[in-house]
Order: sequence, then structure tokens, then C-alpha cells
Amino acid sequence: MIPSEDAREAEILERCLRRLEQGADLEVCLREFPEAAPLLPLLKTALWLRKGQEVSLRPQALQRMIRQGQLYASRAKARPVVSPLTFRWAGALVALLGLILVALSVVSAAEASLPDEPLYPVKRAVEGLLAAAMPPEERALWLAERRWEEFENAAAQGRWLPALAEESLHHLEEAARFEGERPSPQQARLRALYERQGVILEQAVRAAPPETRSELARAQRAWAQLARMFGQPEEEGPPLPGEGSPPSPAPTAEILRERTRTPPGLERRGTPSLERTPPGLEKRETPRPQRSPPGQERRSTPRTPPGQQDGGKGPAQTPPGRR
Amino acid sequence: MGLLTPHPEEKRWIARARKGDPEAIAALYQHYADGIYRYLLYRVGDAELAEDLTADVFLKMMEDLPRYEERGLPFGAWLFRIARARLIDHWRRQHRRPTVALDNTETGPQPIQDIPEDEIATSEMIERALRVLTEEQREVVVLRFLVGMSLEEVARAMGKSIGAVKALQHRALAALARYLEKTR
Repeated sequence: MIPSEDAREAEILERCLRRLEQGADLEVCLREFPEAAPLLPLLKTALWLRKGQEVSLRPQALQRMIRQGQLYASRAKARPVVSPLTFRWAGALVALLGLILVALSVVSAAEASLPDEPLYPVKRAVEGLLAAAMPPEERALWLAERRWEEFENAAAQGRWLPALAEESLHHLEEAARFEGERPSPQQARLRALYERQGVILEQAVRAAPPETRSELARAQRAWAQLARMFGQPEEEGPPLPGEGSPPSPAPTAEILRERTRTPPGLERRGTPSLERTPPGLEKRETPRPQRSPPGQERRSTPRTPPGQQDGGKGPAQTPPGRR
Repeated sequence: MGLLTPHPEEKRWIARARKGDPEAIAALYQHYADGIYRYLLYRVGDAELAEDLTADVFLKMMEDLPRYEERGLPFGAWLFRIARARLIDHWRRQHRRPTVALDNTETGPQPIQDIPEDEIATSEMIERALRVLTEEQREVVVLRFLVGMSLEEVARAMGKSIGAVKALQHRALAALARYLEKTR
């Protein structure tokens, strides 16, 4: 810290220096600031230093520099000049493009994500934006397909996510309602998805671990309840695979086998073929009738509802009133 | 005229110099060259070197002129920043600190033809006297008394408060006064 005495002297010195710069001489300065008398040597030194301002650049050197500058300017004129504003806009544009590229990369990477993965919220957010621009009927079917694809992809990784199946079924039902009001070219997509869901859920219930099996079975029931929307009796549901039933309604089973393909993950987990019970599950299976009761060859044998397979109580009865 | 004292025509010179007007370019050089040269001369202690550095400063000025914008920074102050940066760059390349004079301990500054004898003598004496000062004291003395900046301009150029510059100025002049007393 500057002692106060030094600070006072420095202040007086500066005042005198300003008077000298204004053209006053030492005598005038000391008359105006008598307290500056002890600073006389410093003031004289300052006047001596100012002689150094008499030194100047050699005229030849100055001319050489001027010519150099003028030559530079004439050459620069021939080159296009990018203004600072252009630089800023270009920089901003590059930054924006970079940001868009990063965003597109993230969105692209998020597209394959599944629940509980870091990018899944991004996928859902983008999906929400896209869905908002779609007609309701298209949106419902699109969401149903996307949730189902996620369900199958997760199953292929050994992850069973019944919530996805249920969400898909919810959207499917919504789409089917729109279809009922106003049939459209999407009918084929609806039906194909419904049929695929039935086959996959069937296999999933068998292949999934016990902790998720009940939820998948619930999803399967929800699927069955949609049957009426797709021209099938609700109680019957889709035909059971591997029953050895007579050819009719074999065409439906044939269509299913032709149209659907078991996801790789379900196959690896030992999803049984349509003709074979998976190992370890034989005892849980309700024995199924090998042939239809007399007089009912053309009808599909009712399927034992899930949850009632234990105990081997025999084949399910045909509901009263139905033949 | 001090280094940072703008000329009334300065803005017009700058606008025309940007377009390559030779007269405007010459006017800018003539207005600021002496101040820049003196600053570099009393900081490096060599007239020829100071000329080279001055030429570099003004060439840099021509390169950066399209991007100069006066946002509270007058043209003279902007030019001085270029000069200071060039000086620091020179010292870095030389790997020397400015407290030691450059090759002038015995022979003094290199004489250049066409410089008046009295000017050489004055600059030599001043350059020798400045060696007794610290780096910051020397900077204040060169800017204030040899280049001709005001106290406020010196404070802004050095990035210090006005009070700090006053104190440096006081101590520097006191040290120089003692030196001159001994050498007389």
C-alpha cells in the first residue's frame, strides 16, 4: 500500500506535470503549487525526458513503410474480402449445422433404443412430435407397430416387457375403432399386426420366465378380446397351434405360418415349434383333445384359458349354445 | 502530439484506407509512425531494430484494418496494442527480458545514417538512464514522457489504475533524478 505521504506527493507531481504539458514553465508551476518544491528534481527529469520526443522515424524508413502498406492494400483489393459480419454468420451457420448433425445422430441412435436405455426418452420425444402431425388413425396404428417392434426386439435380447405389448394392443384397439368407422387401406396392416401379435404372444407366454409369464398372459387375454374387431369370435380367439386340428380352420393357421416369423430371440430361448412342447413345460400343459368331438369337426376346439392349465382337468368344454 | 491523440480526419482516413486509398494509408502512417517508433526504440534500445518492428506493426495494421471496429477503443490505442504485442513477440523469440539492454552495454545503440547527432546522443542517454528502472517503471516513463500519452491513456494501456500509474511515475522519476544526479 502506498503511504499517504507518497500518494500526496504523487498527486502533486501529476498536477505539475499537467501544467508543464500545457506549456507552463517550472517557475509558474512552483508558484501555483508551492508544496511541489521538494519535487523539483523530478520535474526537471520529466522535462529532460520529454526531449526524447524529438526523436523521430527516418523519413526514408517512413516512406518505405508507406509504400509497403499501399502495396499490400492494392494486392488485398484484388482478393475478395470477407467482412467480420460474414465471418460471424459463417461461424453461426457452421455451429448450427454441427448442432443439427449431432441432433440427427442422437435421434438416429435413439431409434433403436428400448425402455430403460439412455436414449429411449429421446426416441419417445421425437415420436411424440412426429405423431402430433399425423391423422389420428394413422398415428394409432403407427404407435401400435412401433411398440410391438420394441417388444419383439426386447424379447430377442431376452428382455420381456409386457407393458410394451399392452401399450401396443391399446393403440391397436384405437386404430381398429377408427377402421371400423371408416375403412381405409390400412386395414391390411392392422390385420397383419394383429395376427402377428397373436402368434408372438402365444410363444412368449411359453418362453418367458415365470415372473413375467402372468403379465404376458394378461396381454394375451387383452389381445383375444380384440378378436371381434377383426372378424373373429372373441371367446374362441385364434386357433391353437399344434393341435392337430382338421384342416378347417386350417387356412387361418396356414396364413399365420406363412405371414409370421418367430423373432430370433424367441427361437433361441427354445420357443417350441408349433408341433413340440418346450422342455420343462409338458406338465403344465393341459392335455388337448386329439380330435374334435363328433359333429364338430369343422369348428376349432376351444382353447383352455390360460391359468387353468394346471391340474390336467381335461379338455375345456365347448361353451353352451355353441356348436 | 501524443500517440493516442486522434486526428480530426482519422475516421475518414480509416474508411478510405479500408478501400485501398493510398493517400489515406499514407496519412495514417504519418500520424502514428513516430509515436510507435519511439515506443519501440526506447523499449529495445536499437534504432534499426525499432524500424523493423515499426514496419511489422503497420503491416499488421493493414492486415487487420478490415476487422477494426471502434467500440470504446480508439484507433491509436488499437495500434498501440499491436505494437505491444509485436514487442512481446520479439522478446519471446529473443529469449531475453527487457531489464537487460540488448547489446548496448559497451557500444550503445547501433548508429544509423541520416540521424542527427544530437538525436542519437539524446536517445542514447535516455536509453541508458532507463536501465535503472524496473520493467513497469520503464513502461510508464516511455509511454508518458517519450511517447506522449496522458496519464489515463497510460493506465488503460497498462491495464492499471490511475493511482497505481501515478505511484509508478513518482518512483520512476525519483530513481531517474537520483541517477542523473550521480552521473553529472
